[in-house]
Amino acid sequence: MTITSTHVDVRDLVVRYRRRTALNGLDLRLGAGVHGLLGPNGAGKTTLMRVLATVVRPASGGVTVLDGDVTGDARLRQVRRRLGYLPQQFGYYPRFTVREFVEYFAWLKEVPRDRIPAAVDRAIERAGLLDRADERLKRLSGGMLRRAGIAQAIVNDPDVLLLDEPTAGLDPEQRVDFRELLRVLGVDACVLVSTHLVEDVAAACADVTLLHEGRAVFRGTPAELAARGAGGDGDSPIERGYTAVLRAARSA
Amino acid sequence: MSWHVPEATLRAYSDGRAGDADAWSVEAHLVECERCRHAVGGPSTDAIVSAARPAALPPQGRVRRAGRWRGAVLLTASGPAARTAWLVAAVVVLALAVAMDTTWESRGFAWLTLVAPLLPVAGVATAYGSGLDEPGEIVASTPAGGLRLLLWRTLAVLAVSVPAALLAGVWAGSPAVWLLPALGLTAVTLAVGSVTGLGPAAVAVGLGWAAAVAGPSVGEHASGPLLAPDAVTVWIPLTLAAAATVVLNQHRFAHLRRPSREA
Amino acid sequence: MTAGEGSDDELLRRIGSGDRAAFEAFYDRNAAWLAVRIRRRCGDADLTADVLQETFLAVWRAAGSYAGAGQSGGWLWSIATRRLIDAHRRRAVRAVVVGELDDDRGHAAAPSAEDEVLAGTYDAELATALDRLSPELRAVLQATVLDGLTVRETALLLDVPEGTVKSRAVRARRQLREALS
Ligand SMILES: [Zn+2]
Repeated sequence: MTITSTHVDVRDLVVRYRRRTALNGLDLRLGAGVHGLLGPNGAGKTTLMRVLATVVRPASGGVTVLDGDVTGDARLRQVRRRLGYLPQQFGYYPRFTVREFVEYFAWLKEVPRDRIPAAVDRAIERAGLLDRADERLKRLSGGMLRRAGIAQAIVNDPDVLLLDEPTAGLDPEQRVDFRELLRVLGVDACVLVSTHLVEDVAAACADVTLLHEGRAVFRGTPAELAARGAGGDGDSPIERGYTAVLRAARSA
Repeated sequence: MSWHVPEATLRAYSDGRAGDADAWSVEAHLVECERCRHAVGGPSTDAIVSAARPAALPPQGRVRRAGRWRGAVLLTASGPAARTAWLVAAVVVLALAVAMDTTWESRGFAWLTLVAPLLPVAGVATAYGSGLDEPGEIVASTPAGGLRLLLWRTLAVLAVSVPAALLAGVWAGSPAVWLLPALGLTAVTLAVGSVTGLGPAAVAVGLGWAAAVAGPSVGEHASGPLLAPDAVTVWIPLTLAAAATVVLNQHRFAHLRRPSREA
Repeated sequence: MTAGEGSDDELLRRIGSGDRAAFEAFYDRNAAWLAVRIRRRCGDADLTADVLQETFLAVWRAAGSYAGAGQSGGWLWSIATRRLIDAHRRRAVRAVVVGELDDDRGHAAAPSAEDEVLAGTYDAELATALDRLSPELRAVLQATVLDGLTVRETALLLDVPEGTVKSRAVRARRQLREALS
C-alpha cells in the first residue's frame, strides 16, 4: 500500500508556556503510517501533540494538518472533523457509559447522524471493549479507560490520529493487541504515537522521531535508531540507540 | 415498485457473471427492493453464507437511536445542568434566599432577586473548560466543541435554573423582576468570558450584580434602578450587545485557554 | 413490500429487541445478496465470509439503532462497506509483513467479461455509458457513487493513491456526463 501524501507539515514551530520554551524551531513532515515520537520528559512531545490536535496555538511557525493551516481559523472546523486525539490524561464524565462517551465524541466530531450508532459500535469493537460497552466509566480500570479513550479517538475514522502515551496502563497482552490495531490504523491514516516505552516504537512504528529540548534530534527507522547504539545504555539495541542519540544531543 | 430485475440478469449477477454495467444497475436496485434482494443467491454463494452464519450471538448492549435530539441530550447531559452537585447547590441557594426573604421581610431587600439571576451565571462558569470532570483537551480538538457546546449547556442551565427560581418566587410571593437580568447577566458572562475565560467573567459579573442590587438597598431603595420596570431599556440592548460580542468572538472558544499541564 | 409483517424493517425492529429467530430470518434473506456484492469487491471467498459475519454481528448489536423506513438495504450495505474496508486494511498489514505488496494489485477487479451484457438490459443509456468508461474509471465511480465510499476508502479498496482516485473520479464523471448528454 503506497498512499503518498503529507498529512502533517510542521515548519519552524515555536511554542512557549509563559517563560518556558516547549518547542523551539521544530520541523516535521508526516504521511500515512505509524510514527513514533520519543524523548525524555519535557522534550516537547505533549506540546507537539496539542498543537497538532489544534488545542494549543503556536507562538510562531507553520502548522499544516490535512492541507489546512491550523494556526488560523478558516479551515479549523474541516480539519478537526478528520482528527483523532487521545491526550495523556483526560477527565471523563463518571456517569457516562463507554458507549455514551464514544457517542458523545461522535456528535462533537460531527459524524453524520445516520452513521453514528454503527460507527460507535465499530470503534468500541476495534478498541476491544465491546464486552464493557455499557459499563459506567467510573467502574473501569485504568487500562479499560485508556481503551475507551482510544475508541473515541478513532470513532470518526480520523486521517490524523494523535495518541499521547496510549499504552500507559495496558497489560502486556492488551499492548500486543493495541500494536496490531496501530498497524491496521496506519495503513491509510497518519498515526503519531508519543511514548516513553521504546519497545512499543520498535514493534509498531515505521519511523521514529526523537525530540530533545523542543527540537527533533533524530528521524529514521527503528533499525536506524538501534544502529546508533554504540556507547549508549539500555537493555535492547534500540534503547541503547535512544540513549546514545540523546547523549550526543546534550553534549552538542 | 413496478420494475424488477429480470430473472436471467439476477441469476447472472448471483453467479458473478454479470458485467459491470449490469451489476451497477442491479446493485442500485437491490438496495431499494426487498423482493429482488431476497431472490439473489445460488450455488456459488451457499458455501459462503453457511460459513459466515454467526454460531453464537453475544449480548446486544444498549444501542441508542441517533435521533435529532440525541446529540443535544448528550452535549447537555455532560454539562452542569445535569450534574447532581450543581442541582443540589442551586436548590439550596434558592431555599436559603427564600428563607431569608421570608424571615426579614420588612427590610425590603430581596435575597431571591440577588441570587436568582446569578444561578445561571454560576452554571455557565462551570459549563465549559472548567476542568470539572471534563475531557476538556479532547473536546477542544473537536469541531463542535467550542461555542456550540457551550451554548447548548447554557441553554440547559437556563432551562433548569429559571423555572426553579420562578417556583421559589411563587412560593415566597416575590415578583420575578430578576427574569430579564438573569438573561442579561448570562449573556454578559459569555461575552466577557470570551475574552477573560468564563470563571473570572462569572466572578466579575456576580460582584457587579451584588453591588448594583445591594448598594441601593442600603440607601433606603427597595430595589435598585436595574430592577425598575423601565430598566427594560437597559437590559435588552445590553443582552443584544453581549450576544453580538459572543458571536464576534466565537473563535476565542475554539482553543484550550489554559493547558492543564506543561510537558 | 417495504413495511408490515415480515418485512426487513419489521425483522430489524424485532432483532433490536433481542429476537434471535428474527435475526436468523433476516440472515437467511439478506446474507446471499450481501455476499455477492462483497465478493464482487474483494474477489476472495474467505474474506467475503469474514466480512459477512462481522457485518451481521454488527447488525445484531446495532439493530436497535435502525430507525429507517424501507432503508434496510442501504443501512446494511453501509455497515458492510466499513467492515470490507477494515478487512482490506488488515490484508494490507499482512501484505507488508510477508512482502507481497505488489501481488495484491487487481484484487478488486470485477469479472472482466464485457461481452456478458445480457439481453433485457434496463437503463440502457447509463449501461452503455458505463461500459464505455475504462475499467479504472468505472471502478472509482462504482466505489464512490454506488458504494458510497470516501476517497480514502476507495484508495484502499482499489490500491491506488488518493490523488489518483480524485483525478479518476473527475474524469469518470466528465466522460459519463458527456455520454449521457
Ligand atoms: Zn425489485
